[in-house]
Amino acid sequence: MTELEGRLRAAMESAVAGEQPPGHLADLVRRRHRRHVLRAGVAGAASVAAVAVLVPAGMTVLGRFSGTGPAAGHRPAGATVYAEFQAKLTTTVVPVSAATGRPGKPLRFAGAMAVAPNGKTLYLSGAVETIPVSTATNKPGKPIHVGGSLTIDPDGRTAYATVPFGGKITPVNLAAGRPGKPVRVCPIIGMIAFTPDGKTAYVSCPSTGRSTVIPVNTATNAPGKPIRVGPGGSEIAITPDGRTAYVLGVHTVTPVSTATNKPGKPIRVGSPTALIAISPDGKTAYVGAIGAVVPVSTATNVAGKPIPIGAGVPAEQLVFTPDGKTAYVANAEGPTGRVVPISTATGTAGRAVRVGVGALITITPDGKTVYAAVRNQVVPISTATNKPGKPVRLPYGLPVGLVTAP
Amino acid sequence: MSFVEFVERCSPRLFRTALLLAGQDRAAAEDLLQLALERAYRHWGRVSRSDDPERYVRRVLANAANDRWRRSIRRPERPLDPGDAGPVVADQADTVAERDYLIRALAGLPPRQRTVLVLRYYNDLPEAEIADVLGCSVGTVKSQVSRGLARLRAAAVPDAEATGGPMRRRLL
Repeated sequence: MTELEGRLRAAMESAVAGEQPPGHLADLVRRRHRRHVLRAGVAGAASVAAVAVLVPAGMTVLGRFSGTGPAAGHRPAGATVYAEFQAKLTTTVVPVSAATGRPGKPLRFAGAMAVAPNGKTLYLSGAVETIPVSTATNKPGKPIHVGGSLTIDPDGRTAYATVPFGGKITPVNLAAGRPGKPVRVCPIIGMIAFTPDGKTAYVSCPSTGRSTVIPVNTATNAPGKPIRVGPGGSEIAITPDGRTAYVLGVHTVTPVSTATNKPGKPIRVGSPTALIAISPDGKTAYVGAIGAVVPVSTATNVAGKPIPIGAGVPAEQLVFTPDGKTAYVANAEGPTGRVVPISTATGTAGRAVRVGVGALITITPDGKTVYAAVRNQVVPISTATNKPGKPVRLPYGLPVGLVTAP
Repeated sequence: MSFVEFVERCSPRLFRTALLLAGQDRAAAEDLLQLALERAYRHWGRVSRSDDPERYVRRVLANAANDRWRRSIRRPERPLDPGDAGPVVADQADTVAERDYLIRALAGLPPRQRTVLVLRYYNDLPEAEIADVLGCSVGTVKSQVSRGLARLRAAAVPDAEATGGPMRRRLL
């Protein structure tokens, strides 16, 4: 060990010696533990006798859950933005009406959010079950006994549920509310993406640097032969015509033909990558990297000139207006979240909108408003002026999820 | 061991790791730890049967520190301010100043480099285990450790050269 290594070790030990977690941590854990047991009810860890007692309790919890939606039976015109926050061990989902800019009553449920393609149902997936919530009434439906996060197929009838280290995908019949038999795919699952026709799902397996993508036949749920895509292959974006899946690597993007399931030559994009999104017209794949967004022509698979978004700042999320003329990139400069508009026609970035700590973004279907969820608030940004409007204050902590239901 | 017992027994140690991973940001460290414990809870049946539940939580902690889902606490590389001179006083106080400087330099590293240095030198994990924790190759771990240490050296040199202080002598 060099002298620097020894001194670094000593400095780290000295810096945190005697530090204690917050005193209330154990209490918070206990409370959350209890909430999970009550809500899970049939998770299987409890004894049969306990289940008999806990199922009604779980129903009570769900009943309260159903009553927390905004004005049951009333649906404001326009889209609803669902923002998920986490503070301490409590996760809160808040519906915000895009029409009125007002928040509804919070839904308290831990897990991942997914919206059906028709926008009628929000799925809230916890560890052991998924609750379908009507976006018209915010009323929960019958729980589906599958946990993890859902990726919904284009027609909204089925989904695959998975947990990152679970190694399996579970097909779910959403219409029937019934999970199928789990299918083992790979040790660590990064992402699932469906082709537009819904016939194939591509599952990324970024476990060890020798990343692969596995095509899954959605009719049979049978995984196909793994496709080698090089290190870091976690995110997948599929072109609207369904012909090519682009798989993000550490410094590259690999195009994969969905007809042959053969990878093409990796496209170098320079600095470490963070995300990939394809423009609505399918002509350009935008790769979010450190300090820039790099456009890649899907016709030629050649990377274009990087669009600077702030030196050293990684792109975190990217959404397009429906007409594809503007891309909005969320990133963070120090603790301050920013949203950077990019003209896709000129490949230039506009002035960044500073929004606060965090910055997850979503866009309304009419393309008029980008919503940014940041610590304790949701900020609307007009896409006409690129200026922030009056924030919706929500004292629930840091954002962990944000979706729009049309 | 119940989940609550585990939290009470292991959370101080995990919290200290979280503090280093979060660049000494206490609020961010609390968030990180709570996220890791929540995830551990979700799989507690399996995690508690493993040989080392703490290892599982540490894995979640380390990955959460790098995770895009934790974008809210993720920061770009943060160089030390020009005014942040290294220690110049060559007495016992300089040890304290030097450590403080190193910790601030550590906090300014890119998250992944900071994570591998914390796992390697605070948690004493071998490179192979760090690779397993972060889901990358041993070669990547080695290169990240090497780059992280190089950046710490580089961070120390200009100030020490400017001031004639002890940092250059001690770190090189």
